[in-house]
Amino acid sequence: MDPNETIHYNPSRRSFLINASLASLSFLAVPLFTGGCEDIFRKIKNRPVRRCIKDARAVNQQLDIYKAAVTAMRALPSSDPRNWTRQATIHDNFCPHGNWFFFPWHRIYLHNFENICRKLTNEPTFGLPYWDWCVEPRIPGQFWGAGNPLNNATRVATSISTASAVSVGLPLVDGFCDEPNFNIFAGGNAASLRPAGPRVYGNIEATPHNYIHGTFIRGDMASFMSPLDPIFWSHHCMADLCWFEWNITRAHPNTSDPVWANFDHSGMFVDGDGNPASMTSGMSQLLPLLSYRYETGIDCVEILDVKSIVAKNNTDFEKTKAIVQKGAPIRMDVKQRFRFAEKTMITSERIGGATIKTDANAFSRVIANAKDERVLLALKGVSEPVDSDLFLRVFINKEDVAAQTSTDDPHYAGSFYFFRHNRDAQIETADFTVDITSTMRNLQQTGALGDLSNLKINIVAVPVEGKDAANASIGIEAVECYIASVTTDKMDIK
Amino acid sequence: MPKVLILTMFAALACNTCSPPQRPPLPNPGVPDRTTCKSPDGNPNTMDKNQMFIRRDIDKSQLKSTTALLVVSIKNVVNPDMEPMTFEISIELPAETLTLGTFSLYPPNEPGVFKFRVNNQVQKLRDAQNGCLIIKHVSEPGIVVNDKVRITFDEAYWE
Repeated sequence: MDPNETIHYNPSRRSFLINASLASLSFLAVPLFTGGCEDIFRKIKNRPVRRCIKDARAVNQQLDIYKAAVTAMRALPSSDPRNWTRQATIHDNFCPHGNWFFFPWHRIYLHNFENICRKLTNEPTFGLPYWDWCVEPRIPGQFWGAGNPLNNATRVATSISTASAVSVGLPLVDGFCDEPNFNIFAGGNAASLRPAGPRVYGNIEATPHNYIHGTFIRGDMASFMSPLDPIFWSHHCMADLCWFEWNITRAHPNTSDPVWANFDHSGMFVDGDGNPASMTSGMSQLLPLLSYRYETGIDCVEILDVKSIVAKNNTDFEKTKAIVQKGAPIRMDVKQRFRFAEKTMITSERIGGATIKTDANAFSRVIANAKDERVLLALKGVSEPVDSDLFLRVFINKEDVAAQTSTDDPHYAGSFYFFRHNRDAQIETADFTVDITSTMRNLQQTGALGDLSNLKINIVAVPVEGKDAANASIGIEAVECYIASVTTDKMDIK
Repeated sequence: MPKVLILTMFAALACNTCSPPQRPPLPNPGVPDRTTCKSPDGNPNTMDKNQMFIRRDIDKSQLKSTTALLVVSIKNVVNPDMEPMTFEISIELPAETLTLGTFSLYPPNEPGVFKFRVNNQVQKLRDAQNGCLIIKHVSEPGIVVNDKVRITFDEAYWE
């Protein structure tokens, strides 16, 4: 076993959807992570809908919630990071424009803003309505009127001003969404949000986005404090829909460059409770599949059935992986590896686990300063259950773990689920990896990490809701823990 | 588009009638002089109140069959009043004008690089005897560009 082995962590779809999404759902926070996988899947299926703003009851209900949220945010003291002006200041201080972080940064910004709206209004199903300037080139009537929280007095555009079709028209945007090249669609390469050097704009940003901000609405919208105008959020929701249309509906892959995919948008956003929230660009690709969905497309008419869209564009699991996950292969150089090699069988009745002898000093170093290095936990040679009726949850140093133990527990590290798409196929084994750095750091801060030189890994099998898992079992060949540095694996844009 | 051109002309005429030093009357950019791509005042790089458009020769020597994009760069923007800045890019050929698209500045004083697909027009551009690149400010109704505005472009190039 070579501790310096370089591994390419490029999980299969089966492990990707779970490992990369569920294990990382802690990033998605509020609406998704209140229970086990079964609860998560139910919430994904029933995730909030972002509706096109038109004169319809369903969207007006959402706009009423939006009004209440804006009012509540304005009433918060400026010491609260969810305060309306504080939220706009995030944009003023950090927003990337004219580079490839434009789309993911604003998607994550909207996602956290939406969570704040849900929390402050106690409306967990709230979905931010989008202003489809392609088909409604005037600022929607719901954003006007004295005393209306969605109004903004600084706008130069009036309620009858009409945006130019040459800048926001449907044929134009439809054509932009056919652009095959990620950089032309989404912006030029960058290693930081606001790098030195010229901004290189993607087509959606350069034309409809910029036009709406700086030429059409103006006032607050023309500055980087534009989120002070409530129309900002619905405007950017439409820009986000364009990215969804390009990436998911029309199956154009985002860049595979890890500089983009692994960029951690941290230190800027807060969740619904005002706690720090972060997410990588790569992970933000999954938000419209996991955290919210669009009711209609860029034409504001066609009903989107994401499942069908994905099915249409992907003839098999591998192709789905290529489209959704493209850009996420992560190359890691293993520095140190610690292994517990003893076959374990886990059932819904039998908790599994391992105690791994490690180098406590090395772990302490990584936990204290984990910028480039990570602590990873790998379950090796996992044999999947025949009927996908069990899934695994992994905890660190949690002796009293049970199937009922919540994923809110600070010892929780991640979940692994099994997509067995061919029941008759031979049972396969697979390896799963989860990043446990943040879990270990949190536990250390509260003194709950225990003896680092004898790291305790607790694995519990949880029955899928509605399934009889009495006879199901999962075998694990070995449990490994390793310290790895994340390196940038330059790849060409296709 | 005619409305835009008329407003551009009004802006120019207003200037000519009120503020010396005066420049020669501007040609109508909608009726191009197809014998030259030079801007009327000879400055191919800067727009100001008196001339909110640019006309340049197309450098056909750099135009290859594999060319996919026209890249337009704004080097510097002086726009203290944050007036709206939207530009239209087109190419005038002897027989026709190809409109490539528009772009806007946000905030309206931020320069940047903007790319336009030309794949489908490359052969037409290569076949043409000559051609002019036109970058034109698109006026918003009721707004006349003030005399503080200066937009400086870099040389456009093919990619």
